[in-house]
Amino acid sequence: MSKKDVLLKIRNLKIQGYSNETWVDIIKGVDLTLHRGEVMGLIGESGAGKSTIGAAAMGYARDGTRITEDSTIEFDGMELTTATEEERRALRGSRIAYVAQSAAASFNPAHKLIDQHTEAPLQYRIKKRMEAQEDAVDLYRRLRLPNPEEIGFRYPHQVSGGQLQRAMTAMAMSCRPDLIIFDEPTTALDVTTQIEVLAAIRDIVDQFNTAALYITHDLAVVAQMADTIKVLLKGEEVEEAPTAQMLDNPKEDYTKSLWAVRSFTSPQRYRPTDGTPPLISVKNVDASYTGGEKVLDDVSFDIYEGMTVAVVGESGSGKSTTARVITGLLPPSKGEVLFKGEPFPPDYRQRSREELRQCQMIYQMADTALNPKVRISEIIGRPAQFYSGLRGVKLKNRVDELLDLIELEPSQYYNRYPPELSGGQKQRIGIARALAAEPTFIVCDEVTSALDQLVAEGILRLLDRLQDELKLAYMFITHDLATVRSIADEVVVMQHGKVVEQGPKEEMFTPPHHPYTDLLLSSVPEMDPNWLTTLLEERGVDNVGDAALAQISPDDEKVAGTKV
Amino acid sequence: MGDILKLVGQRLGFGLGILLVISLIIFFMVELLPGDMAQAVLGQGATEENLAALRREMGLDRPALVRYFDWLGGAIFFDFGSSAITGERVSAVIGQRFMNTLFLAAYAAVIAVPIAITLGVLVALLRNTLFDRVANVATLTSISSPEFFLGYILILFFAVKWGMFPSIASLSSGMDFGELLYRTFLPALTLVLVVVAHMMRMTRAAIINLLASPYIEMARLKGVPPWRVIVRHALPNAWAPIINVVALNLAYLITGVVLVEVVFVYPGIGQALVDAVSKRDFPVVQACCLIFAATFILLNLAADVGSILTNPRLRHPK
Amino acid sequence: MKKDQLMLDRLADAAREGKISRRSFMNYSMAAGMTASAATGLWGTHAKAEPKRGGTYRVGQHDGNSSDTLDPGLLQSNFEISLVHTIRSFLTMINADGTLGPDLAMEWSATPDAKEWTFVLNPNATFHSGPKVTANDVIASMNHHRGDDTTSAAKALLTSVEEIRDNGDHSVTFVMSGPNADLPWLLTDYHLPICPANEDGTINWQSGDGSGPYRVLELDFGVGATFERFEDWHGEGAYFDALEFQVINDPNARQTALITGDVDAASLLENRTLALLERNPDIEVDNVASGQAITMPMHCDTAPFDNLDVRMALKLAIDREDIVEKITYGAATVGNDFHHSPAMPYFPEDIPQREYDPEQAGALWRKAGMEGQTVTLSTAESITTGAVDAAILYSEHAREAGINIRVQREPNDGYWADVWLVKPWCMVTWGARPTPDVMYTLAYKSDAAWNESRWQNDRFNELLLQGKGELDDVKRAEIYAEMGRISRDDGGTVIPYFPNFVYGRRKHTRRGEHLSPAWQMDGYRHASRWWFDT
Repeated sequence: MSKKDVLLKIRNLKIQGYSNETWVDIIKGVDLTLHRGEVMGLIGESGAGKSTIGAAAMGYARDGTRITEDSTIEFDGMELTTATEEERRALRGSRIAYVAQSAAASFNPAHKLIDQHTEAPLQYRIKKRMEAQEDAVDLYRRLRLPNPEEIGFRYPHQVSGGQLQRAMTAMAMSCRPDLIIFDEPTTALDVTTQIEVLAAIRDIVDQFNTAALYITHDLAVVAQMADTIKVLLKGEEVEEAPTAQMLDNPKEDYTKSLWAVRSFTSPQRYRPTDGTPPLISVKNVDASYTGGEKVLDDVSFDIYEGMTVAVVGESGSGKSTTARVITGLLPPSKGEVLFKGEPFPPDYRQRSREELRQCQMIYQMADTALNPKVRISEIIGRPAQFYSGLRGVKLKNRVDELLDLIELEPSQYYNRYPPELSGGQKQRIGIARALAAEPTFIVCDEVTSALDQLVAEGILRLLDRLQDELKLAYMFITHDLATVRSIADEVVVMQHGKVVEQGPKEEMFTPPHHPYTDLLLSSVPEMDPNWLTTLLEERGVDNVGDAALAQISPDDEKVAGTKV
Repeated sequence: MGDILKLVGQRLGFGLGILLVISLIIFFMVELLPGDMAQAVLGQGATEENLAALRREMGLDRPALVRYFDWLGGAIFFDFGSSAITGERVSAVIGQRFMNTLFLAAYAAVIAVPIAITLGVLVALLRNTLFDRVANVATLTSISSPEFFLGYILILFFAVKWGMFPSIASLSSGMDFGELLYRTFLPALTLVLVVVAHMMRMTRAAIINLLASPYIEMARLKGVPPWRVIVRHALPNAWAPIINVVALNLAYLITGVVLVEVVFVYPGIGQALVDAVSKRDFPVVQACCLIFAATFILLNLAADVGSILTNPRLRHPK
Repeated sequence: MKKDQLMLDRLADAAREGKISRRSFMNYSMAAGMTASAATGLWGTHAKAEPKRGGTYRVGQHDGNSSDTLDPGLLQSNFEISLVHTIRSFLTMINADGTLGPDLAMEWSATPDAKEWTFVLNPNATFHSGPKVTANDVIASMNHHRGDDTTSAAKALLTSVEEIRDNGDHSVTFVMSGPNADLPWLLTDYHLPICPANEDGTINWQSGDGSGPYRVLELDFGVGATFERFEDWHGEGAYFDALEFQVINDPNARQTALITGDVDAASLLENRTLALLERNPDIEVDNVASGQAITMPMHCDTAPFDNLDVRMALKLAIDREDIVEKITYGAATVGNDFHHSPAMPYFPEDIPQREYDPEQAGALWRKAGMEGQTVTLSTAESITTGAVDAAILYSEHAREAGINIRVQREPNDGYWADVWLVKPWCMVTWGARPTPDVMYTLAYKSDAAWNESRWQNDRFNELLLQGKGELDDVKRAEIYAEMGRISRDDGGTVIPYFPNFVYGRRKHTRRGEHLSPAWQMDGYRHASRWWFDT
């Protein structure tokens, strides 16, 4: 089996989607050649058609889409576009397998992992049930899942996200396929977890010499995984090249712009030295949701006027809960929040209108945070009316001013509805709504996570400019360290509801770190194709992700010293 | 399990509150009807004298609120008092009737539920085919036909034309079980036709709803055949809405079948209630309504618990 | 020949069903070309056979409720009335041919002033539980409806009874405050069965014990009852071995059960389906003139009804034939504005039928100065099937005469409390009463509580009183004829029709030559009078 054998040959792939009662091209004639054992990265922003191509490689068109007749998809000598549905189905799971973005959603909640794992081998009569189960345990072990003997007999909700993603990779391997489609397999994971999964995927693909299409929007990730990279934009190929070549020497402007995303950095600002009290001061706050365990444990940090504090940490670390305490949505069980040195009422219902206006929020999902049935002018106008009592012409002028601020042409957007806008535009409207109250402090909760990188960059630049112009303080909640690097002045690292380390950005990104911060920082993939290899060599295969977290010693001087 | 018990307890408490409110509403609704119990008993033949005598005998001369609380005091201990008309214990008047209703409901449910779910799965599998459309039209027809009309149609064919089943579901004490099933077949079939459609469509909708889930796509991309996608991957996650619609229909089978009882002369509780209302037999009306309300509340509770038990997250905690 | 054969077959059928007399049969047979002797022979083979014993008789009965009772004083529903005639006995009974006959009382006689009636009890009469029926039982049963505390609806029937005496010789004597020639008729009222007496002088109605032709086995009100024959019954008949009464309130269900043979007979068929049922060869429909009546009483003391011309105009403005045909589908007998049905004794045949005469009605209306005015007729759907339609049809008839009748549809609930006796003109349904005296006393006597037309007529009241004491049947007939004429021409009640009793039997269920007009189902004595022709 030579690496040179062509396994998948796609020519002139066109896929159409049905919308507004016509068929619209989504993929506009893409060619793709994949050899046995080769890993190809498909990269592009949302809407580029990466996932659609991935599914098409299995001869599968999602509901509401169709593959046009002049496309050809040849898998190992078999033409999928003319094959019967039965023939195509016989390939799936056995010779071409699929790993979905969200393992948590893609495992059936009603069945045990191992029963889902063995479904394909049993159906294709490749193995008997006992054999298939033994093989599953073997794969779990190879993928370095904890308790491989036992983990398969759990239900999906009883297993963590990173483990589920590995279990899904194991499931894809169950019939030893020739090709696996990885559809953003680590996007939903925290960085520390991502490493384990990446390492596991890379190993297993190597071990079985499986070819793969690796779909992602994250350049650094694809750099670790792929032999070749194909860049897509709006259903068309931009360019394709071997990984190293693509990273060092991208040809197309679009590719270059993608590569340049992380260039923006806002200048470091410092705390005032004249003794003015912080704008927001979180003091020894404990909090829990009704009757539940403590979610925040003795959290303290300060946010000064005009500065950005990034709160980082993995999911479940208490970032968003802290924001809820500050905004008064969740009164703390202990401790208090001070505003300019004065206690802030713990419950938002007890806050005056003036107090409420100080503290606004921008949300991650602009889609759900905006009422789709209300005009832009009203979305922005309502808080302006509520907090400032503006009416009539004054109100309209204020809305125009706000639209100007967020760099949207007022005359063009004034009467439109949210569904007519792009993701970045919606997020800008979210920002304008927050600004309408004329706040001094804004909580930005993962505001760029759902956006493509170029768009996210634009939002970050906008927020930075507004901060300077309006003397705003931001609490920037994120799990993305790249975002932290570009916008933060100070960083608060949280883990398990506690602040493990805090300080100015420049200090935080220079060693020595708290071991958790260290782990967090070192887990962020870099654009170097050897980064993962080097990291694993340094740390050892068994010292990434959960395992590494477990090894942080409580006696470490940095750990002991985090109590501020 | 502790959580489930707590939930059951809460719902029961809530249900009791609702029962209380319902009893109040029923009482004063009955009070608002023109004419009173004595008038209804004596009918056209009433004279002022014997009306007054009868009112005294029935205790109708006391204020409404006093009578209400009297009755409520008994009801708390499951003593619904005596029929105002015949003086019999209310439990004796409606006990057997309620058992009859339960039997008919169970009979219909045992046929209808498996048929509805099987059909629902089938039409979900064959969605947008001719079979789906035919099933849709058929169920829409049966759902939108009044049940007495369905009953008459069945009588016309099964009793009058073909003579296969009796047109009246008369029960007698010495009847064996087979005879009982035979005699009550037509009313049960009528009810089956009425409820199957609703449950089938809900099953179909619940399954089709789930077909957009990532795990369904995953199953398809694993090469799982369509029928297995539906039965093994969609159905187990669709139980919660299906159980709810089944519970709703069971409640209907117990409380909403007066017309079927009338058409087939089946001695169920619905007829007893109608009789009691027309005679202003307040204690019987109250007891029937309370039984109906309790049925609804209990079935809803059962549906909630059923939904919880079919949810693997709650069945297998972390 | 073929045609004659068909004719003979029909005759034979008619003979078997008792629809034709022997004389007619002979006439028709000979007309069809048969010799007299052959016809006599044919009559012998086809004419209705003697009743046979045996079988279980299943009846679909309308109007049964779970609130029904055995208390004689509170009987009201048809199921209760059918039941009481099946399990209990009365002192007297109305025979199938409408005459008065003996039940528990073998014979009765009155003093010449008709103030004291003595009834001799049948010594064979026995309760189902064993004891003989005694004078004591009779007295207790009557007292159930007497006294201040009684809740009985029959109280009014017995108010004139001052005392009931046990003569010690198996006979009782009713002592009346005034003459009442009708007492033996009154005692057929369904409220007045004889129940076993308790020691304290009350009666034990609760047990369902009685001295009727059948003994109740199972009884579930609103559902039905089963019976077995009481072998020691003192009467004649009771041919069925066992009975099953089933409450079927829904008319469609009742008729379907009759068609499918799930029951052998069904009470109260719907008029509009009669034609359909009559075409069914397995079913026989009985359409019997009854003493029931639909009345439209006007308050004679209230304007404009206090004007006789107005009353007469309204009586002339109704086309009774049309209403009988369109509303009852022919299952009724036209009324003549006096409340005396042809099914009641002493019916005066010679009073001319009042016809629809819009011209004269209009003239009277104008004469009364009513031109352009509107009178309101209150009605409700529950009075009788098509009651509202009948009222509207009447208003159409009246329009021809230039009379405006506004039909006011009232709610069914509370009609008897809020409309009847209250509104000046409304529609009323009356059950059958045994004699004209009862009917007139109840609703036409000037001081009657239910004098629904508030009509006062001295001559009428005088005749009523006279009739009560008149023991001579011929003279009584004359009295009631005059009373009929007076109320027809002066009274305030429009009587559109007397509804017929309509019920059906499977062909194998046979009945006697006559059907009692007292109630549905042969005066509700079907169980003891009918039989199976096997």
